[in-house]
Amino acid sequence: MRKIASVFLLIGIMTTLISGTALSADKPKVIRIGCTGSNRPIPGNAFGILYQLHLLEEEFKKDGIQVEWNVFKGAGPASNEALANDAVDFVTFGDLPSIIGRAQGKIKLLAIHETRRAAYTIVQPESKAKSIADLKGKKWGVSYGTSSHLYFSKLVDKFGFKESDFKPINFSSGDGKAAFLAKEIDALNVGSEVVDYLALNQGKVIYGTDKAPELKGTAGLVVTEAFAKKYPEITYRFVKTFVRAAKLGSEPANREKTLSLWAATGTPLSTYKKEYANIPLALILDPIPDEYTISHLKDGIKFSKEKGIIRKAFTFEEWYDGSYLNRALKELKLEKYWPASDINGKPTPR
Amino acid sequence: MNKINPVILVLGSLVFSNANLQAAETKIPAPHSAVTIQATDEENKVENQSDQNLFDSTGSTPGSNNSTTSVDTAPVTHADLEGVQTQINILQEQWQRKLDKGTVLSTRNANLSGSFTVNYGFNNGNITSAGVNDGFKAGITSLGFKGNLHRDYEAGKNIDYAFTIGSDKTTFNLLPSDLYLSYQILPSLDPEKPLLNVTVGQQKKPFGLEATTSDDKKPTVTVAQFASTMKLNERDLGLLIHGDLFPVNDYGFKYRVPLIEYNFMVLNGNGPIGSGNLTNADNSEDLLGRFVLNAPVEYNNPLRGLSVGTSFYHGRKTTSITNNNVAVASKGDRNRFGADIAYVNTPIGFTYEYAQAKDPVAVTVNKISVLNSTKSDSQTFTLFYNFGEQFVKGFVQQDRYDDWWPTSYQPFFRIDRLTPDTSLRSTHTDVYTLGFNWFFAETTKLQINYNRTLSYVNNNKSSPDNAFVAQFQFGF
Repeated sequence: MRKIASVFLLIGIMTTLISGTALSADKPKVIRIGCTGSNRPIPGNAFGILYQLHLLEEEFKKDGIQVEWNVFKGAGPASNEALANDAVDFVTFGDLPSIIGRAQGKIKLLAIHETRRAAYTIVQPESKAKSIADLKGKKWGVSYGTSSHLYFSKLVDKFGFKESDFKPINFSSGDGKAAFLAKEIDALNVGSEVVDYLALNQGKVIYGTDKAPELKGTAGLVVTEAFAKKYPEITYRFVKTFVRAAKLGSEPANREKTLSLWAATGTPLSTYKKEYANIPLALILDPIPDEYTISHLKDGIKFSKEKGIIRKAFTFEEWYDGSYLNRALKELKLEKYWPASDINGKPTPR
Repeated sequence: MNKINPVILVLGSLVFSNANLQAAETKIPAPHSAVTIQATDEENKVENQSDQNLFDSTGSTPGSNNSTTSVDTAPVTHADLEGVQTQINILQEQWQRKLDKGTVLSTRNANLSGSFTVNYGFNNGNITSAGVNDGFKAGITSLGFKGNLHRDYEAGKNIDYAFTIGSDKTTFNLLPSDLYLSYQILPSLDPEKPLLNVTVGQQKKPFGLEATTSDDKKPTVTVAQFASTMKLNERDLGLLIHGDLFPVNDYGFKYRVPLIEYNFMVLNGNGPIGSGNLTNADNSEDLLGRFVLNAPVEYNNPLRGLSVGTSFYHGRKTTSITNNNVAVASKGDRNRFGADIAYVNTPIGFTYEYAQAKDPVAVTVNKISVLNSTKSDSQTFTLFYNFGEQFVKGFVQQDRYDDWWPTSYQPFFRIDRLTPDTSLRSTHTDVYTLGFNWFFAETTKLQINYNRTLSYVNNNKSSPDNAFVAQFQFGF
């Protein structure tokens, strides 16, 4: 009986101890980051620089705060799931998943992680389809809940079609590629990896953001409201370090090295070089929401509500908290470093 | 040739990356103060320069195949290409040899899986209803294959199969467990559309919660009393139609929940295939049905995971009665009814299940026995709380270089009452279980259960049986 009482007591102590880990003091023991990889557990863009240069680890080392990287295979939906279950504090993900995440949860947009994310629709090399209209009734690989979903919805809307005019099939990016290469689907939405399909004659572009720049994607850096409220100074230091990484990647002199670091994600360097040929990386890594990115996100919120992707609308102003970013820019003297763009993506004074 | 030799590239990448990691540790600027003050221009200048130095000194992450590409821009020669081709040919030959000599092949897709439990228990020996004996004990073992026989890329009308064997708890003889063929009748690729599936063969009976939950998902070591006494956790031979209606999709979370789930099953009712049990002994089929209403809400809605269900089972059971000292086989109704409510969310959840059974019994009066029936019922309530991300599907699917898995903990509490004869409510058995599950690897957990069993006979409480059991459950 004494043994059993001991076990009973042990269970109680273990539960109490574990509960205690959830309670925290003035600083977290760990900062939990969620992001998406492509072929390897390594993020890209500014997060790629942060990750590979260990900038966050160094920033928080003196406080004894660990940095935990979670690179999700499930892209945006997995990030949202992790946020909803309080498994991460900071996340970068694409426009649509972050809009859905804000519509249902309590997250704040802190900065822009990537702008002008390209998207293309490819068909089989031997396909006779020449326009979106030719894809009516055809099987079209779409990754629902991701930026690809928003691109697809806006694309068919742009041409006056309904999604049901096509046969959209929900695939993860990896499964979609496999199905397309096995010629099991007629069309597929892809990103910068389009150059690989073209180089190997595995597909041909039928439409893309080169023809419709307004369909380009945006990714954001978000934090849970609970974390930011509890640890505002830690949140600020996180954002400041993030800006430092974006600055390093934006420097023209660092271009080759930056692309080389991104190639560690598993996307070949040649792909990045072709995708970003003639595009300054400062345009991609600009962390400041300008008219171009703000209009894109506002349009994404409006479109998602109209199409029933989200049930509850919200405003960009309710979502975005620029206080951390503005303070970091001011402290780093980078307020005017990145070129601003107007609503059409044309350069404009900041 | 050496310029792009892949082996050298990888090794070089590792060496350089390691060196740069060390450099990063020495060249990183002093971390910033947490105090809200503006940095001076001089500080910013130093910081920016330090960042640049760090950036310049850092190569690609180990594993990158591009670590040296950025610094070596000399054109590739024909000899270089031949070298790469030779390397690829060697790798291809090695791979083919390995494939021919040491790979298990299958005509169709097959996923091999298995599970095993070993536990240690002790109790004070008053009663054994808790199913715990002193000492070490091997528990449920299973080994099997599941896979696909036909994949329909057009509509997802796939044909799947399961072939598993498992041991019983007493003799440890291996017997067929899941043996079925399954077909998606309706297209399954569009998550907006309802699903309809038919399964034929030996399978679990879709009755309630306890009986349908797989062993690796159950919090307790021992099953609820009713599942075994009412023979609901046994597999059976039959045909099951399973479908759903009015699905709600939350694409932002890759979450799909149907408003209605339904199950109809025609089965032999004789239990799993064993020795001499290959055909339907009583020549009549039993019927089973189950309906579930799920909360049709988005992922983040607090009601996610809330469901109510009801199950019914109608069958016949052959019972021997005696008439003038002659045994006569007589058939009586064997019915089951169940109702349940579940809230399975993160981190907290609960399940409550009510089950009622009616079974034929022979009652002998004046040397003449007649077929009568007895009713039993049961109530089971389980409350649990999860610490950790074990049950967050998107979170556990991560790209990692190491063998990572989120360590999780699950304390729970269960109350389980079985009344073997509802006309004698004062006679029943209560089992209280306080437990703790520790998920420390992807397919492995340690379960610790404390069971307190109280048996009442005409309201007279027996001495409690206190049992402790710790169990490792592992699979692959």
